[in-house]
Formats: sequence, C-alpha cells, structure tokens
Amino acid sequence: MLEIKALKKIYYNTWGGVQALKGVDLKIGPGEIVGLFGENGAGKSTLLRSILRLQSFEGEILLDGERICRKNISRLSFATCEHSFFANLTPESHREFYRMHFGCFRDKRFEALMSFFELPLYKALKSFSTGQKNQFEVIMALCQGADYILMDEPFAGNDIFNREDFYKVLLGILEPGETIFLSTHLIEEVERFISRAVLLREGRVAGDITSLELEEQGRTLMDYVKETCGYRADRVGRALDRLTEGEEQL
Amino acid sequence: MKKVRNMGPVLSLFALLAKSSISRILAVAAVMALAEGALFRGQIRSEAIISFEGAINSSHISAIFLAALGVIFLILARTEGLMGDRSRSTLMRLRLSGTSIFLIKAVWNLLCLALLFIVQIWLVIGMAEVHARISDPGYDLPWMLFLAFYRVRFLHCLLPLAETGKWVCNILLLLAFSVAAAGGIGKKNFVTLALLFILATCWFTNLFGRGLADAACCVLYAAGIGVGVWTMRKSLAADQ
Repeated sequence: MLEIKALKKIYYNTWGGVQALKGVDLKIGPGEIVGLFGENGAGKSTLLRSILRLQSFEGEILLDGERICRKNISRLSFATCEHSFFANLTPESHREFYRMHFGCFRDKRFEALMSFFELPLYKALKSFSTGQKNQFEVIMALCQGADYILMDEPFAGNDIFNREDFYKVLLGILEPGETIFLSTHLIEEVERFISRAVLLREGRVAGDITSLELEEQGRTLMDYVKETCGYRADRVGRALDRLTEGEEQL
Repeated sequence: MKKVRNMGPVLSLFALLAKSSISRILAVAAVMALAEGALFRGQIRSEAIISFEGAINSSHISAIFLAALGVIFLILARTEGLMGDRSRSTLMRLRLSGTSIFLIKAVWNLLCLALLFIVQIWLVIGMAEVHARISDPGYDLPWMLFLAFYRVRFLHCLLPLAETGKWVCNILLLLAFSVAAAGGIGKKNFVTLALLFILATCWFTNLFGRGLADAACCVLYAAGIGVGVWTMRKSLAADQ
C-alpha cells in the first residue's frame, strides 16, 4: 500500500513561494491502475516526483508502512516524458545495468516488449525517435520488477495507434500485484484502461472515483472530470460571441 | 565471493560511466597525440640543429595538452551532469547511496585524467626517441629525457621526478578536477570548473612570468576539492 499523508510542497523563488501541493491524502493499494488527472499546474508531476524522493516535501509518504528510502525505493519505477534513461547507451546496456541493480528485473518481459515494439537492442538511445524513446522509457519502468510503476505523461509524442497498442499490452502483461499510477491528459483514451481516477486541482485531491462507481452512475470519466474541475462549457461560445459582436459592429 | 558480488552495482555504474564517455576521451587523446606529433615533427624538420628541449618548447605541446585537458574535463563534467539531471530518477532508485555514486564518478574522472597524463608522458618519451634518432643516434636518451623533464617547466610539472611538492600539487590537481567534474556542469559549478582550469594553465605554462608557488597551488586545489565536496553534500541534503 502506498500512503500519502498531508503532502505539501512549496516551490520557493525570488519573490516568495508557490504552493504546488496543499495537503494531499491518498492511498493506493496493490494491483490498482490509477489515473492521475488535472489541469496543467495542478500538481500531478510534483506529486509523482515527491513519491520518488526527487524533491523535498512536507508530510509523509509510506510504502507498506515504511518511509521511502534507499532500502525500498527500488520497489518504485518511473517513466517520464522527460526520459530518465542514459541516452548514450543502448537498450542492451540498460538491460545489463538494470539486472545488476534491480534483482527482480523482468528479462522475459523486456525481450517480449522490445520485439513487440521492434526497438533495436544495439543502437544508442539518443538516435531513437521521440516515440521510440517513450516506448523504451515505459518498457524499462515495466521491466524493473517494481511493485509500483509511476508514469508521468509517458506517451507525449506517440501516435494514437502506438498508444492504443501500449494500453492493450499493459493490460495483458501486468501481474495482479503490480500497481500503475499514471499521470496523463489523455482522459478518454485511458478510461477503459484504469480502475480508478484521482483528480488534482490547485494542489488538492478534488476527486477520487473508481471505474465501477462511474459505471454505476452512468457517467463517463470526461463528464466526471469536467464536473469536478468546474469546466465551463459555455466559455468558448461566449468568447466567440464577444469576438464576432465586435466584427458585426464594424 | 560475497565481497565481489557486492561490488557488482559499483562496477556496473563504473561501466556505465565508461560506456558514456570513453570513446570521446580516447578520441581527444588521439587527436592530441596526432597534433603534438605533427607540430614536433615540423619543428625538428624545419631547423637543422635544435635541442630536444627547444623543440618541445617551440612546438607548443603544452598548449595542446592543456586544450586536451580542458576538453576532457568538459566531456566528463557534461556527461556526468546530464546523467545527474536527466537520469536522476533512475540513479535515485539504485541501491547505491548518493555519496557512493559521487565517489564512483570522481574515481572514473581521476582515471581518465591520469590516462591523459600518461599518454602525454609516453608521447614525450616517443618524441625524445625520434629526436635522438634524427639529430644524434649516439645520444644518451635517458639522460636527455632526465634533463628535459627537469629543465622544461611543462614537463617538470607533468612528471616532477624527485620534487615532492610538485607531486602533491599534481595529485591535488587531479583530485580537484575529478571532484569538480563529478558535480556536473551546472551554472554554479561552472565557475569552479573555469577557475580550476585557469589555475592549471598558470601552473603548467608559467603564464605570469614566474611560476605559481607549489604551496599556493596546493592550497587552491585543496579549496577546489573542498568546494566540490561541499556542493555534493548540499545537493544530497536537498534530496533528503
């Protein structure tokens, strides 16, 4: 169980501070596939980076009751659109490196995914296309052997067919104990893939709902997100009216 | 056996660093060797009788060595900086502590810089042999080398023979460069990197007419090491 208790984060700058997270409380159990949604600046990346100890924060993050430290951090893996691999190295070198550092590295899964996405094993990653880099980033996160796989916009730059393939493959290969915590803007795309949706708004959890609850309420995830985030559907119409009004007067 | 197995993660990080930078470092060393060889050959061919020391001085080998040192220094700092920035989330999930990672980087840097020094010393020995063969085949090569390494400031700094103070200075120089490069090439670290390189240039080339005193150099290099370690500890503290 990943427990996040009263998580706060302030980014300080010359003029003061910006509070990115204002007390987030969240529990993610093993085997869940959780989608993390929210507008730009809602605190999604900050939340993931805090879980991974990539930045300091206030509050507590526990993994099965223990604070995340060097002993248990290898139970978390991470895929980000900013890419965390070593660009000068080949996928094969990465495999060797991961094998050495992560005892539970999933060799079979690595081979299967590399051949499914037709990625070359002996070519430096810096020469890969953006889509291929994203694929490799996610492959490494899935093959590390972690219990909790965190993803921050992992498919930014991949085409729709590619993403669709990934969702299907993910659902096919995940084992019951593996947990996915996926931050994305592609709400409609991941709706069928996730089992729970968490919504962040202005640094707070604004909504937390399971796919089952959504189904029972007869709502789509997009409707839920729009309602929870107070999306004003008439905003565009009114703005266009104002613009065209001026033109008509001319 | 257990100890060897425990060394696995350390060695793999070492291999990672080597794979990331070794080809470029060897390329720089090769270019340095070619450039120095060409300049030295030009010197001993252009003038009929020129001493080995004169040929070394007039072929500006020290400038090429310093340029190579600077480029390798930048390659190491950039590679490790990128690794620390982009792949930070991967490094943070390893079993190795931040201090261990920093130390492994510093040791790798030390080996790379030491390699450059060794290549340069071998090049000078090779040049001496070529010079002796061309100018006077009966010349006592070891004696000629001994004199050159004592009389030419650049060579004396490179291999100080019996001068303990300069050996200490050289070791501190290598350590300071290694520690500074392990910190990457960020905005703040760039000043340290630049100052260290300027200091090394003054030390090797007698830039201000009179060589920097060994003691002063040692103090400044030690300060460089101190700044590097302090920066590392600060960034590790921020990660906690």
